[in-house]
Amino acid sequence: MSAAPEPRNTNTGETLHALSWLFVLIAQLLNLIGPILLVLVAGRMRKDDGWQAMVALIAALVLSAYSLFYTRTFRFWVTADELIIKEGLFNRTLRHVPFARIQNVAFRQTLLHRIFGVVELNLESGAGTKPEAKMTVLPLLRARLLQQQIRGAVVQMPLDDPAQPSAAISPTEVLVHQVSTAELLRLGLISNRGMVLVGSAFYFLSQSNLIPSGRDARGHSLFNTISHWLRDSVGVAHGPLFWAAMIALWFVMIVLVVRVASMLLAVITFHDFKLYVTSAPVSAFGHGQQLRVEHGLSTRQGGSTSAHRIVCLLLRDGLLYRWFKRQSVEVVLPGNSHDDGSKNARGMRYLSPISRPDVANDLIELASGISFKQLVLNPLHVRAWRRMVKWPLLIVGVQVLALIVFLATHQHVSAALMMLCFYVGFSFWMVRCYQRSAAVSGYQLTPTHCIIRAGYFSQCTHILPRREVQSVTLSQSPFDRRSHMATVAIDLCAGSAFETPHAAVHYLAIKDARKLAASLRLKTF
Amino acid sequence: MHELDQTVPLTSIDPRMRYFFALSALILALAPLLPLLIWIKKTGFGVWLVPVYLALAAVLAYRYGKAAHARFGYGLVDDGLWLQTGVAWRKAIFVPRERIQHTEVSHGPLDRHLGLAKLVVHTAGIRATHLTVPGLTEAIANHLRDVLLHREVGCRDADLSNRTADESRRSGDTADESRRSGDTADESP
Repeated sequence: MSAAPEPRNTNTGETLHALSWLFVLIAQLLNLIGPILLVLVAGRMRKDDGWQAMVALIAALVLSAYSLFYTRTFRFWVTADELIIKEGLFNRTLRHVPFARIQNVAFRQTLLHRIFGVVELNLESGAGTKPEAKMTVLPLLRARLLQQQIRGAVVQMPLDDPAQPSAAISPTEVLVHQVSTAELLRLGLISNRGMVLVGSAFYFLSQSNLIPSGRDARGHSLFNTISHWLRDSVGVAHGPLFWAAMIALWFVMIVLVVRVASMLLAVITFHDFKLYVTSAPVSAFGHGQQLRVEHGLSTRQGGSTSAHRIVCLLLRDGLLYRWFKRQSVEVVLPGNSHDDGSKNARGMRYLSPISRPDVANDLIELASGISFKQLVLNPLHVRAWRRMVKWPLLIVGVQVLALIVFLATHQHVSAALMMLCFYVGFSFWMVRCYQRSAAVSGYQLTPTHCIIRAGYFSQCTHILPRREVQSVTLSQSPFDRRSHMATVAIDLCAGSAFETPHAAVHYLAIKDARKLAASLRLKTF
Repeated sequence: MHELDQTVPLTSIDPRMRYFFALSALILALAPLLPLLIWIKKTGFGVWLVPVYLALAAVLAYRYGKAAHARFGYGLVDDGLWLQTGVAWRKAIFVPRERIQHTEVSHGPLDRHLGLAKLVVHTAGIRATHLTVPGLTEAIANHLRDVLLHREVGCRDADLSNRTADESRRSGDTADESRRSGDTADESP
């Protein structure tokens, strides 16, 4: 890397934005946020902030100097097929990054970036968790142009004309999808993004004495307020009805709060979501559709990739999605699976966070060439629904039985009977749901792709290119063996083992499973 | 034996591996012994349970080891590697040759004692990140690795060694020349 000769270009290369040092400094400070807080807190506790302040000042000066030198000495050159980067203060590296190796380009723009009209670019290759090249920060138009160059859309770069790079931006980029705020509010209603937010809020509230139950003498806690309200205005103070009302109220409140938080988060994250498509000419990078996405209210982020780099498309559906007649299309790309918080831009994750089913199908067709209109899935085993419904019914059944026994032995026979009726009705509903689930689940192999659909309450359809299959697993549990079923699972090379749903077909008839595994094996590359 | 995929002929591993499987099962079976001991200490009842439990665990572990060995098999096919494992929860995994990132042959202390080796095949996947074939002789493990890494391993290795031998023979004569030509090449641009 460092032994490579100087770039062929005669000029001295391009530099980063003049204010880059500020953003590098901020990134450094964010990395050191723990020690800084420690020093500040320790200084305040000891009341003698003389030497701590000095240390902090010196550290800040050193960091600023480092940031300034680092960004001032950062140079890059763009040739027809590679990006050359010279960076480093003490050990200088000269890095050649071929465009063909860049799997996706991620960008991030916080409010501060937007004030100065700059953007942070991460160029990621398929392997590893570290970006291949990180450019903090470039002027917005230069970054756009670089993206285009990497995607092979603009081969010739106007080196001597940085004043009007907008002319070089390819005119073929077309906006194919955008999401309105009303849709984002719907997304908030559907998704549970707010759960984490509300969870942590509850934690802090519980520290501040709002949640704890009856023991609070002042009677100001939320719990007491609600129980007083129940007693005074509804006239219920104790007994099972009181507790049922209490649980129901809490449930409704939590659901409401989570919905509101989810809507807020959805709007903040996906505000003004836009998906652009460029039909790039044939280049070293490949050809075909280039996709670019950007979204975000205060922090704009997103990325671009080419359609043939997509490891897997996920079409999400479910109970709530169906009520609102919406779906969402996720995309799994190599290299953007690192979970190191918000320090690095994560690139493109959605083709559309929410859209009508026909639009979602169009987007999938655009990105993969698969049309769902003529698609018929191969079914699961005919008795798959029995296996699916068995455990949920058993688990709920045991709980309901315990409740019924408790109620019956405490002179609430009518309530026990009601519970029994509820359970019978619930069972019928569950059986229907799982029959539906088994009916809609299945798999299909096209010459290029494997499509797997599973689930009903929360449904996920994998559309994965067969060339991306890493391994095929055929497995059988003892229950599977008794009912002559098997599971076929496909391992992919990107995504996260925790977040990305497993591409697996459960409850297949064993002979179908063998056939599927065999045909996947034949055409995995 | 080969219930999951009947089309691939599978090879068994070294029969001594059944003791490895049995041993790992036995170690797992020792975990419930701790609460049992605590209970005995508290109540002072049922000391005889410990040897009974141990004997039962040993018998079951041995039977498990035998079954696990019988179920374990690997199959090398043109396009990749099949592996079959599991006694109650059974599994057959296929890794295409093109998807193998790297392989390693490793020996634990017990392996070395018994003259065995273990082949580990790594993929770029996120769930089944590696497959392990234990209980191979070193020769077989090395052979499997070579075959998996490049198809025509034998001839290509031979080619390479021939070429390097040729080059080293020739390099003695032409070393000066090449150095001179290198110098001029450096000056030319």
